[in-house]
Amino acid sequence: MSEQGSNDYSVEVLEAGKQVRLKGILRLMSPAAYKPVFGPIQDQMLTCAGRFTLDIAGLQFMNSSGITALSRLLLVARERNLEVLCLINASTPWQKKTLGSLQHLLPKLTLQTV
Amino acid sequence: MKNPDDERGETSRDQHTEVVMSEWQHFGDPLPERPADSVISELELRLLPLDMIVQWRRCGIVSDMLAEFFSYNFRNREPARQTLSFAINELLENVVKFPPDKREPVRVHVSDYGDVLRIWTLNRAESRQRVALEHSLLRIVSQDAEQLFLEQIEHGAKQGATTSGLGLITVKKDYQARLAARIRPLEHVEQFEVMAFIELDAEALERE
Repeated sequence: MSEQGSNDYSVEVLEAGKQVRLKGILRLMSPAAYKPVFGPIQDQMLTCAGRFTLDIAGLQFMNSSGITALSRLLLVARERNLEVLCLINASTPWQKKTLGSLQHLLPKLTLQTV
Repeated sequence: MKNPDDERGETSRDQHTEVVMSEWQHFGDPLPERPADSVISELELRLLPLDMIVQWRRCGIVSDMLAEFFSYNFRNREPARQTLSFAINELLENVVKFPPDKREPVRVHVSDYGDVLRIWTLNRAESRQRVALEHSLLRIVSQDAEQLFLEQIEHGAKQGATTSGLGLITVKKDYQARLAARIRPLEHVEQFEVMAFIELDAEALERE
Protein backbone atom coordinates (compact mmCIF):
# COMPACT_ATOMS: atom_id res chain seq x y z
CA MET A 1 0.00 0.00 0.00
CA SER A 2 1.26 3.47 -0.74
CA GLU A 3 -0.16 6.72 0.46
CA GLN A 4 0.17 10.35 -0.43
CA GLY A 5 -1.75 13.48 0.27
CA SER A 6 -1.78 16.42 2.56
CA ASN A 7 -3.37 17.40 5.84
CA ASP A 8 -6.71 17.56 4.06
CA TYR A 9 -6.80 14.38 1.99
CA SER A 10 -5.07 11.08 1.36
CA VAL A 11 -4.77 8.79 -1.65
CA GLU A 12 -4.01 5.14 -0.84
CA VAL A 13 -3.21 2.52 -3.45
CA LEU A 14 -4.44 -0.92 -2.45
CA GLU A 15 -4.66 -4.44 -3.84
CA ALA A 16 -1.69 -4.23 -6.16
CA GLY A 17 -3.00 -1.14 -7.87
CA LYS A 18 -6.56 -2.41 -8.48
CA GLN A 19 -8.10 -0.13 -5.86
CA VAL A 20 -7.49 3.42 -4.82
CA ARG A 21 -8.99 4.95 -1.68
CA LEU A 22 -9.50 8.70 -1.59
CA LYS A 23 -10.32 10.21 1.79
CA GLY A 24 -10.69 13.62 3.40
CA ILE A 25 -11.79 16.98 2.08
CA LEU A 26 -10.99 18.35 -1.36
CA ARG A 27 -11.44 22.05 -2.11
CA LEU A 28 -8.65 22.83 -4.55
CA MET A 29 -8.76 26.01 -6.61
CA SER A 30 -9.24 24.62 -10.09
CA PRO A 31 -9.51 21.35 -12.04
CA ALA A 32 -5.79 21.65 -12.89
CA ALA A 33 -4.95 21.84 -9.20
CA TYR A 34 -6.32 18.30 -8.88
CA LYS A 35 -3.59 16.83 -11.08
CA PRO A 36 -1.55 15.65 -8.05
CA VAL A 37 -4.70 13.92 -6.75
CA PHE A 38 -6.19 12.30 -9.84
CA GLY A 39 -3.00 11.95 -11.90
CA PRO A 40 -1.66 9.04 -9.79
CA ILE A 41 -5.16 7.53 -9.64
CA GLN A 42 -5.35 7.62 -13.43
CA ASP A 43 -1.91 6.00 -13.69
CA GLN A 44 -3.09 3.12 -11.49
CA MET A 45 -6.36 2.81 -13.36
CA LEU A 46 -4.67 2.53 -16.75
CA THR A 47 -2.38 -0.28 -15.63
CA CYS A 48 -5.15 -2.21 -13.94
CA ALA A 49 -6.47 -5.34 -15.65
CA GLY A 50 -10.15 -6.02 -15.13
CA ARG A 51 -12.22 -3.82 -12.86
CA PHE A 52 -10.77 -0.79 -11.11
CA THR A 53 -12.17 0.21 -7.74
CA LEU A 54 -12.29 3.81 -6.60
CA ASP A 55 -13.23 4.10 -2.93
CA ILE A 56 -14.48 7.59 -2.10
CA ALA A 57 -16.58 6.55 0.90
CA GLY A 58 -14.26 8.52 3.15
CA LEU A 59 -14.34 11.65 0.99
CA GLN A 60 -16.41 14.08 3.02
CA PHE A 61 -16.43 17.03 0.65
CA MET A 62 -15.39 17.82 -2.89
CA ASN A 63 -15.96 21.14 -4.66
CA SER A 64 -17.03 21.55 -8.28
CA SER A 65 -13.43 21.73 -9.51
CA GLY A 66 -12.95 18.28 -7.96
CA ILE A 67 -16.13 16.97 -9.56
CA THR A 68 -14.78 18.20 -12.89
CA ALA A 69 -11.42 16.49 -12.32
CA LEU A 70 -13.13 13.24 -11.26
CA SER A 71 -15.39 13.33 -14.30
CA ARG A 72 -12.35 13.74 -16.59
CA LEU A 73 -10.83 10.67 -14.94
CA LEU A 74 -13.98 8.75 -15.77
CA LEU A 75 -13.89 10.00 -19.36
CA VAL A 76 -10.43 8.46 -19.65
CA ALA A 77 -11.92 5.19 -18.31
CA ARG A 78 -14.64 5.44 -20.94
CA GLU A 79 -12.09 5.93 -23.75
CA ARG A 80 -10.32 2.77 -22.64
CA ASN A 81 -13.58 0.85 -22.13
CA LEU A 82 -12.69 0.18 -18.50
CA GLU A 83 -15.01 -1.03 -15.76
CA VAL A 84 -14.99 1.11 -12.66
CA LEU A 85 -16.55 0.30 -9.31
CA CYS A 86 -17.02 3.30 -7.07
CA LEU A 87 -17.55 2.76 -3.36
CA ILE A 88 -19.67 5.50 -1.83
CA ASN A 89 -21.02 6.37 1.59
CA ALA A 90 -24.77 6.40 2.30
CA SER A 91 -24.22 9.12 4.92
CA THR A 92 -22.66 11.48 2.39
CA PRO A 93 -25.60 12.31 0.10
CA TRP A 94 -23.63 14.32 -2.47
CA GLN A 95 -21.71 11.20 -3.47
CA LYS A 96 -24.76 9.34 -4.73
CA LYS A 97 -26.11 12.46 -6.42
CA THR A 98 -22.91 13.31 -8.24
CA LEU A 99 -21.74 9.80 -9.05
CA GLY A 100 -25.28 8.89 -10.10
CA SER A 101 -25.12 11.59 -12.78
CA LEU A 102 -21.65 10.48 -13.83
CA GLN A 103 -23.01 6.99 -14.57
CA HIS A 104 -24.59 8.58 -17.65
CA LEU A 105 -21.08 9.48 -18.81
CA LEU A 106 -19.64 6.08 -18.12
CA PRO A 107 -22.15 3.21 -18.41
CA LYS A 108 -19.50 0.81 -17.03
CA LEU A 109 -19.43 2.76 -13.77
CA THR A 110 -21.04 0.83 -10.93
CA LEU A 111 -21.81 2.37 -7.56
CA GLN A 112 -21.74 0.40 -4.34
CA THR A 113 -22.82 1.87 -1.03
CA VAL A 114 -20.66 0.92 1.95
CA MET B 1 -27.23 46.20 7.83
CA LYS B 2 -28.45 47.71 4.57
CA ASN B 3 -29.80 45.27 1.99
CA PRO B 4 -28.88 46.13 -1.59
CA ASP B 5 -32.54 45.29 -2.39
CA ASP B 6 -33.38 48.63 -0.79
CA GLU B 7 -30.96 50.63 -2.88
CA ARG B 8 -32.54 51.86 -6.08
CA GLY B 9 -31.11 54.60 -8.23
CA GLU B 10 -29.09 56.11 -5.43
CA THR B 11 -25.97 58.14 -5.86
CA SER B 12 -23.19 56.59 -3.89
CA ARG B 13 -19.80 57.88 -3.01
CA ASP B 14 -17.09 55.35 -2.39
CA GLN B 15 -13.84 56.13 -0.78
CA HIS B 16 -11.94 57.36 -3.82
CA THR B 17 -14.35 58.34 -6.58
CA GLU B 18 -17.93 59.38 -6.89
CA VAL B 19 -19.83 56.84 -8.96
CA VAL B 20 -23.45 56.95 -9.97
CA MET B 21 -25.26 53.66 -9.66
CA SER B 22 -28.33 52.86 -11.68
CA GLU B 23 -31.11 50.46 -10.78
CA TRP B 24 -30.45 46.76 -10.34
CA GLN B 25 -31.32 44.53 -13.29
CA HIS B 26 -32.44 41.04 -12.35
CA PHE B 27 -32.02 37.92 -14.43
CA GLY B 28 -32.38 34.23 -13.75
CA ASP B 29 -35.03 32.65 -11.56
CA PRO B 30 -37.51 35.07 -9.98
CA LEU B 31 -36.92 35.65 -6.28
CA PRO B 32 -39.90 37.04 -4.38
CA GLU B 33 -39.23 40.06 -2.21
CA ARG B 34 -38.95 39.04 1.41
CA PRO B 35 -39.89 41.54 4.11
CA ALA B 36 -36.99 42.29 6.42
CA ASP B 37 -39.01 41.22 9.47
CA SER B 38 -39.61 37.73 8.03
CA VAL B 39 -35.97 36.71 8.50
CA ILE B 40 -35.34 34.20 11.29
CA SER B 41 -31.56 34.18 11.19
CA GLU B 42 -29.06 36.22 9.26
CA LEU B 43 -25.32 36.60 8.99
CA GLU B 44 -23.14 38.62 6.66
CA LEU B 45 -19.40 38.67 6.16
CA ARG B 46 -17.25 41.26 4.45
CA LEU B 47 -14.08 39.71 3.04
CA LEU B 48 -11.03 40.61 1.04
CA PRO B 49 -10.62 38.22 -1.92
CA LEU B 50 -6.85 38.51 -1.57
CA ASP B 51 -7.02 36.89 1.86
CA MET B 52 -8.80 33.88 0.36
CA ILE B 53 -6.55 33.64 -2.70
CA VAL B 54 -3.33 33.57 -0.66
CA GLN B 55 -4.78 31.00 1.75
CA TRP B 56 -7.31 29.08 -0.28
CA ARG B 57 -8.25 26.94 2.70
CA ARG B 58 -10.04 30.00 4.07
CA CYS B 59 -12.84 29.44 1.54
CA GLY B 60 -13.56 26.15 3.25
CA ILE B 61 -13.28 27.67 6.69
CA VAL B 62 -15.83 30.37 5.86
CA SER B 63 -18.21 28.01 4.01
CA ASP B 64 -18.12 25.45 6.82
CA MET B 65 -18.64 28.10 9.49
CA LEU B 66 -21.69 29.57 7.76
CA ALA B 67 -23.07 26.10 7.03
CA GLU B 68 -22.59 24.99 10.62
CA PHE B 69 -24.24 28.17 11.90
CA PHE B 70 -27.38 27.84 9.79
CA SER B 71 -27.70 24.05 10.01
CA TYR B 72 -28.54 24.51 13.68
CA ASN B 73 -32.03 25.55 12.60
CA PHE B 74 -32.66 22.12 11.05
CA ARG B 75 -33.83 18.85 12.58
CA ASN B 76 -31.69 16.88 10.15
CA ARG B 77 -28.54 18.92 10.56
CA GLU B 78 -25.88 16.94 8.76
CA PRO B 79 -27.42 16.86 5.25
CA ALA B 80 -28.31 20.55 5.64
CA ARG B 81 -24.76 21.36 6.70
CA GLN B 82 -23.22 19.49 3.78
CA THR B 83 -25.51 21.08 1.22
CA LEU B 84 -25.11 24.58 2.61
CA SER B 85 -21.34 24.23 2.73
CA PHE B 86 -21.25 23.19 -0.93
CA ALA B 87 -23.59 25.96 -2.11
CA ILE B 88 -21.87 28.70 -0.11
CA ASN B 89 -18.46 27.43 -1.19
CA GLU B 90 -19.39 27.69 -4.87
CA LEU B 91 -20.56 31.29 -4.60
CA LEU B 92 -17.60 32.17 -2.41
CA GLU B 93 -15.04 30.71 -4.82
CA ASN B 94 -16.58 32.75 -7.66
CA VAL B 95 -16.68 35.94 -5.67
CA VAL B 96 -12.99 35.73 -4.75
CA LYS B 97 -11.70 34.54 -8.13
CA PHE B 98 -13.34 36.98 -10.49
CA PRO B 99 -13.23 40.56 -9.10
CA PRO B 100 -10.60 42.72 -10.84
CA ASP B 101 -9.29 44.22 -7.59
CA LYS B 102 -8.65 41.52 -5.00
CA ARG B 103 -8.29 44.18 -2.30
CA GLU B 104 -11.83 45.45 -2.85
CA PRO B 105 -14.11 43.96 -0.15
CA VAL B 106 -16.85 41.55 -1.18
CA ARG B 107 -19.90 40.50 0.80
CA VAL B 108 -21.32 37.07 1.58
CA HIS B 109 -24.77 37.01 3.11
CA VAL B 110 -27.08 34.24 4.32
CA SER B 111 -30.69 34.78 5.39
CA ASP B 112 -32.92 32.06 6.81
CA TYR B 113 -36.63 32.78 6.24
CA GLY B 114 -37.81 29.46 7.66
CA ASP B 115 -39.11 27.95 4.43
CA VAL B 116 -36.10 29.02 2.35
CA LEU B 117 -32.51 30.02 2.81
CA ARG B 118 -31.18 32.74 0.57
CA ILE B 119 -27.45 33.10 0.02
CA TRP B 120 -26.03 36.02 -1.91
CA THR B 121 -22.67 37.53 -2.66
CA LEU B 122 -21.83 41.03 -3.83
CA ASN B 123 -18.76 42.05 -5.77
CA ARG B 124 -17.55 44.25 -8.58
CA ALA B 125 -16.64 42.83 -11.96
CA GLU B 126 -15.30 44.20 -15.21
CA SER B 127 -17.84 45.28 -17.82
CA ARG B 128 -16.39 42.89 -20.38
CA GLN B 129 -17.47 39.96 -18.18
CA ARG B 130 -21.11 40.94 -18.15
CA VAL B 131 -22.29 39.23 -21.33
CA ALA B 132 -20.63 35.93 -20.40
CA LEU B 133 -22.17 36.07 -16.93
CA GLU B 134 -25.68 36.71 -18.25
CA HIS B 135 -25.36 34.04 -20.90
CA SER B 136 -24.06 31.47 -18.44
CA LEU B 137 -26.79 32.07 -15.89
CA LEU B 138 -29.61 32.15 -18.39
CA ARG B 139 -28.35 28.87 -19.81
CA ILE B 140 -28.36 27.29 -16.35
CA VAL B 141 -31.86 28.41 -15.38
CA SER B 142 -33.48 27.59 -18.72
CA GLN B 143 -32.06 24.15 -19.48
CA ASP B 144 -32.37 20.74 -17.86
CA ALA B 145 -29.73 20.67 -15.13
CA GLU B 146 -28.81 17.00 -15.52
CA GLN B 147 -28.28 17.38 -19.26
CA LEU B 148 -26.35 20.61 -18.78
CA PHE B 149 -24.12 18.95 -16.16
CA LEU B 150 -23.10 16.22 -18.61
CA GLU B 151 -22.69 18.66 -21.52
CA GLN B 152 -20.49 20.94 -19.44
CA ILE B 153 -18.23 18.02 -18.50
CA GLU B 154 -17.87 16.76 -22.07
CA HIS B 155 -17.40 20.23 -23.54
CA GLY B 156 -14.94 21.28 -20.84
CA ALA B 157 -12.87 18.13 -21.28
CA LYS B 158 -12.69 18.57 -25.08
CA GLN B 159 -11.67 22.22 -24.75
CA GLY B 160 -9.25 21.54 -21.89
CA ALA B 161 -11.15 24.18 -19.93
CA THR B 162 -9.26 25.52 -16.93
CA THR B 163 -12.44 26.35 -15.05
CA SER B 164 -15.12 23.93 -13.95
CA GLY B 165 -18.39 25.70 -14.72
CA LEU B 166 -20.19 22.98 -12.75
CA GLY B 167 -20.79 24.70 -9.43
CA LEU B 168 -24.13 26.40 -9.97
CA ILE B 169 -25.31 23.62 -12.30
CA THR B 170 -24.67 21.09 -9.52
CA VAL B 171 -26.50 23.17 -6.94
CA LYS B 172 -29.50 23.33 -9.24
CA LYS B 173 -29.30 19.66 -10.29
CA ASP B 174 -28.87 18.16 -6.85
CA TYR B 175 -30.73 20.59 -4.59
CA GLN B 176 -33.31 22.22 -6.90
CA ALA B 177 -31.85 25.63 -6.08
CA ARG B 178 -33.18 28.82 -7.62
CA LEU B 179 -30.41 30.88 -9.15
CA ALA B 180 -30.36 34.55 -10.00
CA ALA B 181 -28.12 37.54 -10.41
CA ARG B 182 -28.62 41.27 -10.15
CA ILE B 183 -26.39 43.64 -12.01
CA ARG B 184 -25.89 47.34 -11.59
CA PRO B 185 -23.57 49.17 -14.01
CA LEU B 186 -21.26 51.73 -12.50
CA GLU B 187 -20.64 54.96 -14.37
CA HIS B 188 -17.19 56.46 -14.84
CA VAL B 189 -15.60 53.05 -14.44
CA GLU B 190 -15.72 50.05 -16.78
CA GLN B 191 -17.23 47.89 -14.06
CA PHE B 192 -20.51 46.69 -12.66
CA GLU B 193 -21.71 45.42 -9.34
CA VAL B 194 -23.13 41.93 -9.27
CA MET B 195 -25.15 40.10 -6.67
CA ALA B 196 -25.28 36.33 -7.18
CA PHE B 197 -28.09 34.44 -5.45
CA ILE B 198 -28.70 30.84 -4.50
CA GLU B 199 -32.06 30.14 -2.88
CA LEU B 200 -32.69 26.72 -1.32
CA ASP B 201 -35.89 25.27 0.09
CA ALA B 202 -35.48 24.21 3.71
CA GLU B 203 -37.12 20.90 2.87
CA ALA B 204 -34.54 20.15 0.15
CA LEU B 205 -31.73 20.95 2.56
CA GLU B 206 -32.76 18.30 5.06
CA ARG B 207 -33.29 15.60 2.46
CA GLU B 208 -30.67 12.84 2.35
